[in-house]
Amino acid sequence: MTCEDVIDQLDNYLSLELSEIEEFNIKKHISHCVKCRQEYNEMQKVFLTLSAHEMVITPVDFTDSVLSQINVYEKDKNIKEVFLFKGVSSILAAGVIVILFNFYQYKPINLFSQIYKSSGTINRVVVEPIDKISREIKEIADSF
Amino acid sequence: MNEEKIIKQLKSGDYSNYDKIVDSYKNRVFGMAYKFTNDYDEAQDLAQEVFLKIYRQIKNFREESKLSTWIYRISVNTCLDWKKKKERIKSINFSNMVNEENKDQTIDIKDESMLPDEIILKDENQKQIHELIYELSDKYKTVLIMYHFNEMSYQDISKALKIPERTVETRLYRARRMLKDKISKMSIKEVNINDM
Repeated sequence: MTCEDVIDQLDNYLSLELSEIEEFNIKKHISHCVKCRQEYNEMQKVFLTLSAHEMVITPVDFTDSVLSQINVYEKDKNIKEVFLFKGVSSILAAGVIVILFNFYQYKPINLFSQIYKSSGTINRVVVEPIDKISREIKEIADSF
Repeated sequence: MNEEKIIKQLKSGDYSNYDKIVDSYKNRVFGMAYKFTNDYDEAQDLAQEVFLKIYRQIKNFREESKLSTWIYRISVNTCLDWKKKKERIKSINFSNMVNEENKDQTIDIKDESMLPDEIILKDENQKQIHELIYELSDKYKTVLIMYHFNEMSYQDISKALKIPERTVETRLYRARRMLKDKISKMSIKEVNINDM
């Protein structure tokens, strides 16, 4: 094992991520190589410093603060949703009215022509069967 | 109650056990936020922002990774966003200071004495180590915190940061070497002071 290999694998050795054979080879090299031993000692210090490093103490009321922020967020969300619902429904209602007016093309002349056409249709529906019956009675009478 | 059940509850809109998630991860999330901000109050705000984001986004958690990995990814991204925002504000303030019209503007100087030091980190040595980590650039600091303090594997860090495992390893290697140099300089300084 060369010095370069050892330096390259030193972090994994210190993180205990090597196989037994690899560990053995590094140990053996370090025991007789002064330069690598020095590097090992310095890196071991870094690892020990990091593992002994205390993380900062979290405030005691941290969880409560988070939960109260969530409450505020939920309230804001509800208010927004109500406003959004009212806004959207108002826009929809206005839209429906506009569509209805456009659909019927609300002009007096169009309206009257629709009424006239409708009345013609109703008239046909009512009068046609009576006409038909009278024609048939007439035909029967003629046959005698 | 285990984490899986809590996640199911949260996804179905029942947030009654969200405090358990906060309690489980608050120390590591807060620790990470403090390593980015170097300010106790700002770390508190930032960590709260992280948990609010988690709350809002939990429905998007697809369980392809561990919950912890997902939480730390949100934490890192929030910390990096905070830093970018902070740097933008700093540059705006600086340009304002340079501007002659604003030369009478007062500058906010933070009152460091607001919190007793012992609340933040117990001893001077720990504070020095914190400073050394804080001074590292973001890409090295992030992997170092994730590996050494959040106990994440290379694979989990790789997933969280969306970088190859080999890059995680390389960044960790470099981060530790940078720390090594800083620690040895620190030791030399201490020796010199003791000699005087």
